[in-house]
Amino acid sequence: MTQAAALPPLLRVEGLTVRFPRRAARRFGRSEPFAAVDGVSFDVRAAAALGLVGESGSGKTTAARAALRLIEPCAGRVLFDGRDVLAMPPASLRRLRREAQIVFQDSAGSLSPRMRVGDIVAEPLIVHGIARGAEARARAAELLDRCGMPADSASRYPHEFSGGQRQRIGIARAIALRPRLLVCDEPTSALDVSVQSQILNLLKDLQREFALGMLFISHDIAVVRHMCDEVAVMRGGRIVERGPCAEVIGAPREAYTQRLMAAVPGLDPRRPLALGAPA
Amino acid sequence: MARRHTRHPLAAILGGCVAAAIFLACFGSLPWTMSRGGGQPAPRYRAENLAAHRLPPSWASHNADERARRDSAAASPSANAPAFALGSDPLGRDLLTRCLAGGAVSLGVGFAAAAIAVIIGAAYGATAAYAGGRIDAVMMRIVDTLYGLPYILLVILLALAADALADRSLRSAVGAAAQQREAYIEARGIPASAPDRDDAIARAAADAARLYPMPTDGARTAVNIATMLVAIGGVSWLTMARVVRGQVLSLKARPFVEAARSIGANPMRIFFRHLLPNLAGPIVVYATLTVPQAILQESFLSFLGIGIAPPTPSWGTLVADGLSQLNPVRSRWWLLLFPSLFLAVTLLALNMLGEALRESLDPRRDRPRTP
Repeated sequence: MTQAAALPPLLRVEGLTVRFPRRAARRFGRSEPFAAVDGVSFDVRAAAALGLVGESGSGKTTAARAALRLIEPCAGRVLFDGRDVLAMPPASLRRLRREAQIVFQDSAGSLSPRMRVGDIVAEPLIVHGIARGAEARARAAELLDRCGMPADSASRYPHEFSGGQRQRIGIARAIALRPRLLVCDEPTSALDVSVQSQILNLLKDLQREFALGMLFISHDIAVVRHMCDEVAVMRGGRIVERGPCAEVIGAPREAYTQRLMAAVPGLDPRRPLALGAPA
Repeated sequence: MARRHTRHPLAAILGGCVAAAIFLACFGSLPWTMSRGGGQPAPRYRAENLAAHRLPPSWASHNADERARRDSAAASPSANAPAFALGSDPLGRDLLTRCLAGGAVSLGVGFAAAAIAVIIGAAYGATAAYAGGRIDAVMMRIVDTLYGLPYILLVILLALAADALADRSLRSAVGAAAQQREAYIEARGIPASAPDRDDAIARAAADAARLYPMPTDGARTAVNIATMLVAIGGVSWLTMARVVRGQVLSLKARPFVEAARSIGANPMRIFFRHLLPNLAGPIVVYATLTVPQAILQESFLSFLGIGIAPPTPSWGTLVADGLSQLNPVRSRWWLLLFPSLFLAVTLLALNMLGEALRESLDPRRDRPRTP
């Protein structure tokens, strides 16, 4: 652990800030933009998983998208393997796309409805010129198989699959380029519980197999505890607490984290469910 | 996401079949309607046999006068095989032949104008939506402005300008042919003292006419039809541009476009691989609905007299001609009824087909319809 910590992190985010213009708030005068992410810093180490937890609207997803430059942040610094992501010209950004991939929350929406599953999974390979034609198809079939999809799925369309299967397709596409960083943006929040655990186990297996650095976004404390080594808690665009999983979840220091933990339904029948935040 | 097919498959099939039948009849008969029959100097749809004017359809009742004229027309050696299945017009032209030829003009203008509208509109709308921001705003304000212009005015201006151009070139071509003929006759060098001077000049003139034919007004008809195409296509693409822009905007916000960006696909690839396949449905649907609209506009303009110029028939001009033949003394009902029927049935069939396609292809089909 200490040795790993001494290495430079795979992804270092410093003071990341994303502001959105507030619409039609005030006609006259300066309207303050809304800071969805406000000076967020975190590290993702190679082959380790960082959990990003927080309530809806706390800026988790925005922070992750800005770190991959899917949206442009206003301020801050993002270093991927020591390279400055925010200063990258398009060519290097393309190379970054090979190394950092994302699994989306909306498994149905993130797959092109008029493309066959095989083409969807093979697309990253074709875009980056790694494989084409029959070879790309074979690689896609391999990836789909690795992600637990039936053998005939490559020639079918996304809408023919269940939510869990679609998420497997999304994962197959994300690992097609053998990335070193995988951002999982609430990959299981739209799935029901039995399917959730299968997807989580698949992700965990893949993380071990490919030594993936993982940024795991979730609002589910139990999922984060299962998946992550470290956790950062976000609220209102800022990180309120950060540390190893066991510490933050086991003994939260911040009042907000304590309330968040208390909101997790327990399995102890003698303890009443503490769903509401205590005053 | 269950794929729901159209609620009226019969309507779609019927509409498609009827539209296809009319299309085939009009275009398939072109070699026949354009040919010269019975030793006539003009194409069959234009051949005139004035004795056979305003004859009712051959199966309808004839009065004594009409019967006599019909029989004499049938007996005439130069007759243009006038079966008069749908009657004849005031110049003795067969109405069925003119309906078929007019259908080819109307359908041709309709399909071509719709194609122009689809190509310009789709490219324009997609560009605006894809560029976004200020470019999008400027491009769409241009569309709004064009929407505001009364298109009849635009068409009249276009038609006048094109007609003037065609007129000028035709006149200069006629002048050139006349000069060439004169020069030819001069070159024969017929002496003024020749005894059969007038005969010789007449022979030379006949040779000259054979060598240097006067230009026909075919070029003018072509310009006329092209003007209609440009005018109707130039008006119909506006709606198409709006439809496509809206579609691209909504597709752009869908997560799969971001997913494509996250794997490093460039904007061209995103457009052609991810957006265009999802646009194809609405574009096809809208194109199918644009065709009857364009046909209707062509007929409407021709009906007003600013569209296809006679003697070229189109359904609109035929209806206009038919309307002028309605009078309280003796109504030549067939002249109005049959062109109108051709037009109405075609429009209905194409609209049925378009609506059915919309129901089965429109991505918004699962949402409740808003009135």
